[in-house]
Amino acid sequence: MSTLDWLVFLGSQGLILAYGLWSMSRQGQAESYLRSRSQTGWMVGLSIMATQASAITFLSAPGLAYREGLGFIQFYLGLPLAMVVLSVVALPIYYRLNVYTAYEYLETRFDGRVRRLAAFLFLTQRGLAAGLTIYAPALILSTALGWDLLWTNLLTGSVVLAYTLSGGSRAVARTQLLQMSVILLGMVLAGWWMFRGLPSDWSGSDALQLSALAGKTQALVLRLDWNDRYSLWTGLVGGGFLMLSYFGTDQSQVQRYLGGQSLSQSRKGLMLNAFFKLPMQLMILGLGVLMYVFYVFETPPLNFKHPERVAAHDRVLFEQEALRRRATAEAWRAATYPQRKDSLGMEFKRSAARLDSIQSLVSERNKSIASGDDGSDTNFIFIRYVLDFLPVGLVGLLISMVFCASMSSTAAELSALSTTTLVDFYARWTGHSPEGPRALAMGRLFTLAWGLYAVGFALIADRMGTLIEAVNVLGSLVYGTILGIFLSAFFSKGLRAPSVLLAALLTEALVLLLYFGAEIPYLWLNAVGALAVPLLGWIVQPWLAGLSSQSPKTPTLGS
Amino acid sequence: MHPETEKVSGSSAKDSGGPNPWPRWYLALALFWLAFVGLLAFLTRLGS
Repeated sequence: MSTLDWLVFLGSQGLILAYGLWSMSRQGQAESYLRSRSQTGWMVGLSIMATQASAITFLSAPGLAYREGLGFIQFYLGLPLAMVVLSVVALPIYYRLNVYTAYEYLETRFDGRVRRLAAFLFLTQRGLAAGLTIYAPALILSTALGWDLLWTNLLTGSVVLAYTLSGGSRAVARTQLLQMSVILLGMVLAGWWMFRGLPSDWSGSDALQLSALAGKTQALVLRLDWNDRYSLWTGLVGGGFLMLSYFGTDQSQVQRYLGGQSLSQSRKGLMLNAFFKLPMQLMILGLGVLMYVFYVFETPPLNFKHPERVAAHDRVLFEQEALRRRATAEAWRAATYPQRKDSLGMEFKRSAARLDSIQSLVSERNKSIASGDDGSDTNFIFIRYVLDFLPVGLVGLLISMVFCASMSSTAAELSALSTTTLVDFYARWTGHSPEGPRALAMGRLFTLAWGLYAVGFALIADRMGTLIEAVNVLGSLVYGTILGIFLSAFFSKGLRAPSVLLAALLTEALVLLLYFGAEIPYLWLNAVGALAVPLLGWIVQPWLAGLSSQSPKTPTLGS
Repeated sequence: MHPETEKVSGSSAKDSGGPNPWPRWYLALALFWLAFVGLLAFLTRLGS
């Protein structure tokens, strides 16, 4: 990076860090360390979006769209419906009980064991996910600056941890506003620069038509096929259940919207997320599609991760084919007769397919050369573009953008992990109040412990494939079960604690069995888990009748 | 104690006797979602 890039990067990060530290100086109470209740609807909404949009989103999603098109957008189609369900069902109950964590509600409704099980499942998967959100920017910095990945992981993890320790929930939310501003600015400027890089006689419409010709605008799959990873149905049903579980029962999100000034402001925050998430995600994926068009006119690297691991004859073959694709694209655009245009369009597709097959071949070879390398270079496509083509100054801003995205997610995650450990385990077992100076000290201690755990996991994350999917798969293995417990609590008034506990354990076993045995797309696991808990609960309840003597403590929906 | 702990059954507008604004938000969201899926269908059709 140039001096100006360093100035932009360090300046923006320094400003955000200073703001976080300033928030700490005004931070004296455990309650606002665990839960800040001072935010307007806009702040809640931006905080929710900043928490979900991690650095992984900005690294992987454009690369995914570059290779496979816009299809990944379907993953988010169930999100608006999930926001409405939460706004109507879960939010009023959380407010009524005045809870710090979502899991507190489960003890009111069932018992301490169900609460601990759900909190434990959350801690398990969120702790690992926090490791991945630290790993992603470390990967960028190691690529950009040539640093050793191990030390970069340690360094970035420490910075995030120091910032989170100093912050607390209120500071996390406030810094997220600045971070989202940098993220949005970075995205818009990157897209603008990419478009500027197209030949001057190519319009936006030309670029859109070329990307459609290449199959990159295939955004909607309507057929119902179990083998489709992303379709309207997997997004709406599987993705919908995942979003319901993530936003409704994952403390890193629940803590964000419980920070609203009132129930009404928290609802506005959820609605803001419902309206803006889909367009934002389409913009991020759109960057990848635009990047594809850009690389039609600029020969791309044969492998974005390891350009050096490419044999000379493969590179020559690839570059010749890339030139042929470019010439075909220009001839296709200039053609006026429909038959000629169709024939050139077919030629363009064939040329693009040949490039893909050369690229796949090289990825396969890389996979077999290096153990622990899955051969995929998807995560490196966007950052390679940033480093190779963005002007001085903008590179620093984009690196800062990814770092902001990581910090905002990691801070919220560590804060939630610490709050859950404190409220659902420490305070529950010791009988101490989750408020007061002792709780504040313990909260900071738990933040430190979870930060170290996450950094530890970040150190081994390099062996995983496409990061964005790894995080989602990880979530899908436990989210369904957690949501199933909450759905049982909200909607099944007659279900009792022992039945739900046993059903949840059976469901988790079933989900793991399906994931490792049946190989169904992971998004469906959310729906399976969520529905299996109440269903199995009703099946096992008669056998456990003797054990469950107490009646539900409520509140359930409508009570 | 949170200021809204005592009035949790709905929005503040509803509690103060005014019309409940949330069904209109949900309706607007449903229309927005349909328009968004329409946009995705249009993009998909471009390439077919």
